[in-house]
Amino acid sequence: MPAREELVMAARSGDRQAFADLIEAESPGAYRTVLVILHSHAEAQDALQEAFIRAWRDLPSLRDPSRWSAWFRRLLVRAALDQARRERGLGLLSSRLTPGPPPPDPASTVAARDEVARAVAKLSPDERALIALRYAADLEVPDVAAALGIRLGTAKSRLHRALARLRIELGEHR
Amino acid sequence: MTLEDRLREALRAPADQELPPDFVARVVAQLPHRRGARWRTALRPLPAIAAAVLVAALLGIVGLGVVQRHAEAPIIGGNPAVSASPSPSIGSPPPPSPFLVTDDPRFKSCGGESQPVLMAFPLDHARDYLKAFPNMGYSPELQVDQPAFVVVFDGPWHGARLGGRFAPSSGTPAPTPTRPPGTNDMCIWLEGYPIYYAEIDTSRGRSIDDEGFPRSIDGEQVFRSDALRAWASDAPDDSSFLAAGWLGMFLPACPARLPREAETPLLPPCASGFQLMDYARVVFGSNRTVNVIADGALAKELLTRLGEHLIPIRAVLRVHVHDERAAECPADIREVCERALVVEELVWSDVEATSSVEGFADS
Repeated sequence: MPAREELVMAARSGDRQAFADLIEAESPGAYRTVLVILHSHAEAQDALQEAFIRAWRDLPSLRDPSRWSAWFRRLLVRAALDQARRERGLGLLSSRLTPGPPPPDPASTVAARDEVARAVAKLSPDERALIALRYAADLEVPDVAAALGIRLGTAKSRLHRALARLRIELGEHR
Repeated sequence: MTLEDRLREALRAPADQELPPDFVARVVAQLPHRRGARWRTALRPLPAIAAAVLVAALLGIVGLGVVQRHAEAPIIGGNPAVSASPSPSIGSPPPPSPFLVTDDPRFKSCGGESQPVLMAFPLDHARDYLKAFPNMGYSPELQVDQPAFVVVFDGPWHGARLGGRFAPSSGTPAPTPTRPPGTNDMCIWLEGYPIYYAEIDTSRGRSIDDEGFPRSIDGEQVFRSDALRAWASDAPDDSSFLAAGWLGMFLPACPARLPREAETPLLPPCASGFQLMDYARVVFGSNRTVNVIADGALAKELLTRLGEHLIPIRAVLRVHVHDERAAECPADIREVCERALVVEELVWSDVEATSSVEGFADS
């Protein structure tokens, strides 16, 4: 498969197969990220689809192909937060948790993961976006800030607050 | 195990986070044409009935009754089908109800009563269509000063069309056509006639007020003027919101001794910096003006938009109050710091940047 920058340039020129290759590579990580933010497979798939379509539509405006990842992450998070706002407007998000099929892990591990996931679900969508980018997508904090379009200091303080809330939810008082 | 490790383990567990195997293929199949696969039916230059007959003759499929309804525009059924709470389509969140103006006669003239509608609102000038629908593309027939009225249909327009999909000419239901996500059919009423457009990218569609500011962006309310000041004053936390106004910059002469506010970045020296104003003129200290705090690359981007003459521009900014830096303010001015409007991003402006600070355009 061609290098990612070549795929970006080809997709930017209208090559759908190149775009398909590009988003095929992005999909697993991107899906993990939006799933943490939205907590619903259906909503996460909608957000991911919207992000991909926005990416296709706006790709000609991406002047530097090497910035594809940062550019796409920003679209992705925005699509997920838009979806969350719509859901919040409909009063759906806070009352819904739709875990997928249980992974084939020992029961204790599953329970521990579920506990963490439920604690994360109690955060606001913006905080979940921070947590998702930092721990599901494994980005460094500066990249998290860039993806969210906020300053590094803001990202750090919000992350600190989100972790503090999680510690309380999980009974990990310091 | 630390909390961070627990988060990594829990949030990266792959087993229940897999996409359907055909997901990417389905997305790719729905990608819109970049140049916009749109048709338009400008009936204005032709007598309405003649145009209808021409359309029917060309297509040979559409029943004359349907075309005439389209040409004559008003479609008045016994049960108006205007959706007060329309279902959203991808990329087109339902706008707040104030943007569904159904009591204007032009709404009916566009056929708005015949089927569900996502948006309906007047434009003071037809030439403002790109402000309302930035992704619509250039449409020379709309480059006029006359007032217009926009109706965005929720679903395909059921009247005649010049594309490959048709409404049924009898009572037989037709298969639901598939439109590219984020696109909608729309009618723009202009100078006494409806003009129909298909598959217009309305994903960034917005109603604009009489000064050209969007009232909402992607379904999120935009606050301006008194509403902005009230929202900023009452906001309980640092959740972001959209603030609109004339973005300008005020650069007063600094006094020899800086005020105490100079100690905090939330109250810059001499109150210099960016302002959101109710009017397109800079008036220092006016109660129709609010200072906004932007720094770093963001400040550079805003300056780029203002240009070398710092002429105020219409702008929508994502902002928040209760910035964490307020904690650094002295106690006697803490409350002022808490209410400082801190800019997170430039969401919209009606002026293109002459050079980009970032490597990509705003989206």
